[in-house]
Amino acid sequence: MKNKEIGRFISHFHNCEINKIGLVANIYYDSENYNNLKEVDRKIPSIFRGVLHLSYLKKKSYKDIFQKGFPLKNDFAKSIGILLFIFEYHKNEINKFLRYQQNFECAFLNGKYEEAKYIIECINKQISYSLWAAKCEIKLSRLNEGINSSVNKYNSLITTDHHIFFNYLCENAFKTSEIEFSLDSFINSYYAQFSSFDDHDFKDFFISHCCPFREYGINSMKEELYSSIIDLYIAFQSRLNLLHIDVVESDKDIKDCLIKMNEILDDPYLNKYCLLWGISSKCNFPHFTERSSIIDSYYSERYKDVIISSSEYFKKMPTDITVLDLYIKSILKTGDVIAKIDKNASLFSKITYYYYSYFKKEESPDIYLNKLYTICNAEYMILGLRHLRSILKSYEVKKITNMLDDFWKYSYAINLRDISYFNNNEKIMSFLDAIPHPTLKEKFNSICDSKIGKSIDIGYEALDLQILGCNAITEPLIQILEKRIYKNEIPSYMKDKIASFLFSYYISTQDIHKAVIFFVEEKLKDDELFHILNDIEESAIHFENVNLEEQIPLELSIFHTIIGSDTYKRYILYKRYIKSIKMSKASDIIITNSDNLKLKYFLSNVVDQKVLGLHVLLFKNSNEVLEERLLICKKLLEIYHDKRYSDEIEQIVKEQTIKGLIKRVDESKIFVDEESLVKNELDEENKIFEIFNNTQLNTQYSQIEGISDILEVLRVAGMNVQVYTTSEDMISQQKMVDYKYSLFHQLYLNIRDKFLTSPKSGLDYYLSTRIRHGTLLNQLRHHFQKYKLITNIGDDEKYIMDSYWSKDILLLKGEKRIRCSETFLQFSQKIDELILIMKDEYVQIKTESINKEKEACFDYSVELMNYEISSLFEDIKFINDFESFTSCIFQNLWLYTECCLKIVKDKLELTKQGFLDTLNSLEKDVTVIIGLENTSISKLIEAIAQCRTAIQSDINTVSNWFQRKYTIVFDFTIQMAIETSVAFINKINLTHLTIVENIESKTMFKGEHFNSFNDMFNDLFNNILGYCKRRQLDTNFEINVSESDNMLMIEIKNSIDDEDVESTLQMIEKTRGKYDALISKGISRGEGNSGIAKIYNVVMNILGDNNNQFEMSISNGKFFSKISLNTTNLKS
Amino acid sequence: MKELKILIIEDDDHKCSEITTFLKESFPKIFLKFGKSYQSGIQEATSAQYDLLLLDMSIPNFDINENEDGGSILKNGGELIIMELIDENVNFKCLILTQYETFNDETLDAIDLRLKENCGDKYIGCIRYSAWKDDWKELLKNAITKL
Repeated sequence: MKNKEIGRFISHFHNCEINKIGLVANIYYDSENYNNLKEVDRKIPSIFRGVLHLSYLKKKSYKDIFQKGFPLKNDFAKSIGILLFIFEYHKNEINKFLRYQQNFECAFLNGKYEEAKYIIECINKQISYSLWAAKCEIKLSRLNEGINSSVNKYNSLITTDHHIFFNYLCENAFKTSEIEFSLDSFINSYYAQFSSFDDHDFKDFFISHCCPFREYGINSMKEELYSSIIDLYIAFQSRLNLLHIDVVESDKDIKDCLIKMNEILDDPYLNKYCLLWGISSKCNFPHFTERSSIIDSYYSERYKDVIISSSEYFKKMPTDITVLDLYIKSILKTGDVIAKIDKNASLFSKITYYYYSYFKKEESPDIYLNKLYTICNAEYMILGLRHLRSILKSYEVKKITNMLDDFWKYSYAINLRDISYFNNNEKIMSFLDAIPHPTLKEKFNSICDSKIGKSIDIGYEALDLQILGCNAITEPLIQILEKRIYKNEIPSYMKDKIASFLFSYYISTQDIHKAVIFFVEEKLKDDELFHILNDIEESAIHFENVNLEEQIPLELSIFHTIIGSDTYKRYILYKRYIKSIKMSKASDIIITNSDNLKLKYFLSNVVDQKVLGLHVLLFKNSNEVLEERLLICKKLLEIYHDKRYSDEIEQIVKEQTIKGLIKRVDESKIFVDEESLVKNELDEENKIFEIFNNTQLNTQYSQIEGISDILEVLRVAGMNVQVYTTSEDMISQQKMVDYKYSLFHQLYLNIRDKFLTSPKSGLDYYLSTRIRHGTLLNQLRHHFQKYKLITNIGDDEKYIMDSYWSKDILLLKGEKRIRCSETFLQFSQKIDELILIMKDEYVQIKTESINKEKEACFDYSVELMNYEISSLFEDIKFINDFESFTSCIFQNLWLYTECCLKIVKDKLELTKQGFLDTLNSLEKDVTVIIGLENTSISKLIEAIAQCRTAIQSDINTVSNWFQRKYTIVFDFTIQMAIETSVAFINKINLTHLTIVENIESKTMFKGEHFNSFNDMFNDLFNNILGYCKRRQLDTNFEINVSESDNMLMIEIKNSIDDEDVESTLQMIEKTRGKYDALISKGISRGEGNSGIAKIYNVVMNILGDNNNQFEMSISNGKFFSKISLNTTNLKS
Repeated sequence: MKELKILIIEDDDHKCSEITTFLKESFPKIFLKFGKSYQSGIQEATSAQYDLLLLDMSIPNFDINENEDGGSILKNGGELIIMELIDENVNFKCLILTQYETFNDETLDAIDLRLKENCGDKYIGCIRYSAWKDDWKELLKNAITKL
């Protein structure tokens, strides 16, 4: 700066109206470096020197922070000169602070919170208030006195007259004070907020304060001249790692400034960096001799000495994480243990224990790693903990040869590991020459010698390998590592890294055979190994060219199973292995030695159901696969008594049972409860039968057919009667008929009507409950939905327009998108039309008096049945007991029903063809609209093709419902009934039900009741699923079952939307006590809103007992269905 | 022309019937046998000699029937059949006839290329089937004629 300019500035100082801080800012900006500033300083009147030296940085209260100042103009490196100028004039305060800081950190970590608190008070009073002190106060209060106290402390610090930055950063300190739970979410949200800042200076400033472990720019110090001398120095201190050695070496000004700074300040961290940069040889570290002795002991493998000396050292220097690292490793190497800590332990004790547990790798090491990270994140103002975080990050590095890359960051004093800072041996040597620590140099030389096989010391494996570099790895080193790993002599914290290193080494040297054997043997001994290898699948590519399949099929099959290779790969190896041992199947293998881990793994994990499923020349169907797997599990259970095998057996049996039960449900859809009809609903028919029985054959009587004469009488009487029969039917005809036959005809039709339409037990009730009520629609619709080819009907009763295909996949716009959506809309309509015709027209009962207008497949109209009736009459006219009589009629009705079922199947074939044609039209129409050049069309074509195959299978499934089977009846538990219903519903619905069960009943119920239980649960669960889907609620529900005194209590609860509480309560009230009436009116045979009546029918009639109950209620936002069943007659 | 023996491994009844009709029209002297899954396909292919296996790609593990849900759907089941038959030293020729473009995130072209590389003259190639277009018919006819 020229004298003239300096003079101009000085003249401005005398002007009272000029803002002095602004003036100083301009001097700083114009001066640019230390020497220029010194020049100004020499010339400026002493009265203004305080302003020039920024004495305002010494804050008298928290209120003063961020109130005045100016931003630094240049980035961190170029600001070193200015910072030196400032620090030089505040060196006493800074040095005093550094002493206090060390004592504070020691007290803080060792749990001497009162002492720590006192130190902060001293710093505030004697040096300056600072943001750092405010943060420390908050963190201290949280650790010492708990959450409530820290809230009070925080509240007292953020007053309205404090600067908003100060308040905000205090809030951040408060929110990140928790050391027991992860702070990631807070930190992430802070980071997300700041990342969106346009102003990079402010962005970096806030990130450096609130998320100090995230990356921030080198400009992040620009705003620090607003804070305090303490905050300014800490900001400088924590950015030293950003100053690259090349910058220091190439810029003389910067180098000189740093040298001077190191001379005037007693900062061990700055001192350490000056050693790394090669600009100092002073080792001004507190307790340096004691520390050096510990490090020497470690590298001389005197681990007991390390343990003893460190314990004393930590009382003074708990922030020295380098020594802590060596201490923990010594503990592990000597086999010592660190006792569990209690919750009141000091932070240092916690860190020590967590570090030890993480390195021991015994139980969930990641938990301890996360605990350590949480502490580091919470107490980031402790520089030692920044080093701890840096070390932890290093241990997470995958490649062992890069593991120590960041070890030097924030590390205290010097250590051999700091050599990872350098990129060549020359610099390492000059660093080691400069420091008064000969052991480190000796150690370094011995590792370098190992290149030629002179010696290798496994004590510091990572260090050795880091120094040598991957390319310099020699055979002797590998042999030593192998020997140690086989003898289990590798410390726990290095085992994964060494094992992974060796595996990668074998792959790189093309020793694939050895790589596989090594991997498998080590992995089976210790499952925690090889987690860090992320390119392990890629390494398997090397295997293709080596004929390992024949050589080591067992190991290779295990290897591929561990790395998650595809099933066919594993299957081929399984096949190779069993062939190599001359067995035909895996269950034939005899395990003679239970220590054979490979065989155990092979049978437990390789030979799973998927692999066995591919062995189709041996296992012809899924059942045979399951049987084989069951056999294998039973063998393994016998030998190892491991719960995992009994669990798998249980799971397989359960799956088979549920599969069987679902099949039974599928096969029981065509049903009439004949027993119940005979017992409860045929009293009148019984009386008619008595007349029939007492009537002799050939008793003729004059029967009048047609009603024209009756109508005439009514008309004469003045009644306007409307009739809906054809004129021919109306003409009265009188003829002589056999009275016994006439009675039989009447009886047959009466029984037919009960057989078909009894609201409690008839065919139509079961068709409705088991087929029409949601089941048919869901079964036929769900694949169209799965592939998103159809949409649902929205609140406005119109189909929702397709956007998935036309917009999201095919990326259509404008006219094309509209036309495409329109095509999908028509497709949805057509598909639903086909399904609804099936449900509402074809799968319906028809007689001369019901559903006459429908094209029902179950058409029992009398004109169609007359031949059946007359034929049957000839067969059974001499039967004289009612039971046999009804049984014959039922039998005859079932024979007729078989014909109806065939008709349904034919209709289903037509529906299938309708689906396929409609799918073809869809593919064709959309292709025409968008053209084959749209590359996404293949996705649609695939979806249609998949749907085409699936829907044919669905139609076959539905077709199988329409047959009457005599399935084996077996007893069941309530849990089996519940789980079968859930599995069945989930099978045919895209949205699945999740159930929380609490079942305290193990009673076996008679198999004949299974379908009734299933009907009941099916309706209950379908109602829940339907409601939750409509209201977009979670589709989970709770079911509690208990049993006492022959009563089974079932309680089901699911969520209910607040909006529905009132109307549902009204519905419950309105229908209470009316179900019997509703059922007798036939509501149970319909589908709309009939679910509850159907459940009631099962509870009260089908599983009927006077003590049974079915209640619904709402409480605490949940809908409750409570069912009580008397089990006396239901138990097997 | 001698009688052609073709094994069609296809789980889509409709597609299977379309192929059958076309083949019977095009080759009067033809004997067709069917498999509807990976299992029945391999079982049949290993128990008799065929002039050609006509394979679908996505097929169930086992034939679906009243007692069998088919197990898992093998997305690249056609390819697995080819690999298994090679592994079992079966003498065969095959052609893939599929409606799909991708299988387990792999394109049909990529699979086609791999099969050509690995299977030699056992693998004739693949034809894309369409339910509403007939271009596959000519391609199939040509391929069979060349046998």
